[in-house]
Amino acid sequence: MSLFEKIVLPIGTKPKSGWIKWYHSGIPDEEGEKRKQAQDDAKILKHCENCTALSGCYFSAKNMPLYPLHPHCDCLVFSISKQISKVVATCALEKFTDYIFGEKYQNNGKTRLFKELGFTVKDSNYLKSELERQAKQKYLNGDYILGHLNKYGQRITIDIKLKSPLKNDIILKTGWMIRTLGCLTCNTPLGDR
Amino acid sequence: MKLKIYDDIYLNTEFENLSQKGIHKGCSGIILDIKADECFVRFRNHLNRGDYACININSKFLDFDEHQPKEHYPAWEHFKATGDLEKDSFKPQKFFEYDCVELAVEKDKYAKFGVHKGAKGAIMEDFCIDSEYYVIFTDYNTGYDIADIAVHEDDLILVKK
Repeated sequence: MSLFEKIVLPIGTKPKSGWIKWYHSGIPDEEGEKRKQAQDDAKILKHCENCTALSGCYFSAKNMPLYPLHPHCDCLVFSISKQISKVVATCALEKFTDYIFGEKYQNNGKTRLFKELGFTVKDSNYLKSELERQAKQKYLNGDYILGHLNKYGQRITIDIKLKSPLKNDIILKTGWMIRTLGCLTCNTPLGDR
Repeated sequence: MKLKIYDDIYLNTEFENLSQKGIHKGCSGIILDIKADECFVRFRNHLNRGDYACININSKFLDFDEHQPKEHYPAWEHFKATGDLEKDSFKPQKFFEYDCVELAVEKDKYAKFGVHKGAKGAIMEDFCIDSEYYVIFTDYNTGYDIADIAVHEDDLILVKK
């Protein structure tokens, strides 16, 4: 527990404002080998995989998963007294070069959608940067929609506004995974309609 | 440093016979038993969380990482009593990130998300959990996503690598 975290209200309640950190004992906050090992062992130790996936993740108090997730949940929720600032939103370039514009996905409709908007694989770096910039800001504002939660983690949808070369400004519903300590990674640059 | 039961360790040497089983230098594991210098180790498969391999190996090929807390001992004792300790190799990785796959079965656990047999999608992580891969399924008519869910490897077929 850091200086900026304190135990929140009892189970079943949450702060009306600010940010929270989800916590499950035994799961390191930092993404990496130690966290993977702990999550691997969590099954042997009979811990809920969804809970261990959430441990270390930050949420806006007004936009957080149901707490507790299940009966006899061991998780705690800490309020974060300081405004979080070190948010890192990462969209792998391969999401565009290998997925959206990838040869094997030529027929899945996404390439066509992006091309209709005037984007090609040459715009991958621009698209990646724009998604990261806007996703970071929206997340900081608590402006996201909670999606599916499973052992891989908590999905959120973030609306990204793009200036299309061919059409009016468009809104893309992008899919992200919340990672620990204020990090997000892009799952899909084009999710729901 | 003398190793003990329930020490977390790393394999410090590459062995051809182990590498053929998917176990490489740097692989982490937990010592389940020790007899003289021979350690019985449960190695973790970082590419398939939940998968493991149990190997007897000399302690000189293991580097100490940390010791498991005492409160975890009963769980590991239970694993030793009930787990498959004969399993001595990792499952081969079947799919890789950005592989194009198709759902080969019709099951309620996928259908409840709107994903039916024949749906195509993309593998979106470089690892799996309990042999279930994270797949984003797309409606090929519209380009919009149907769902992103965990799908067992036996329920998927490779469309394009």
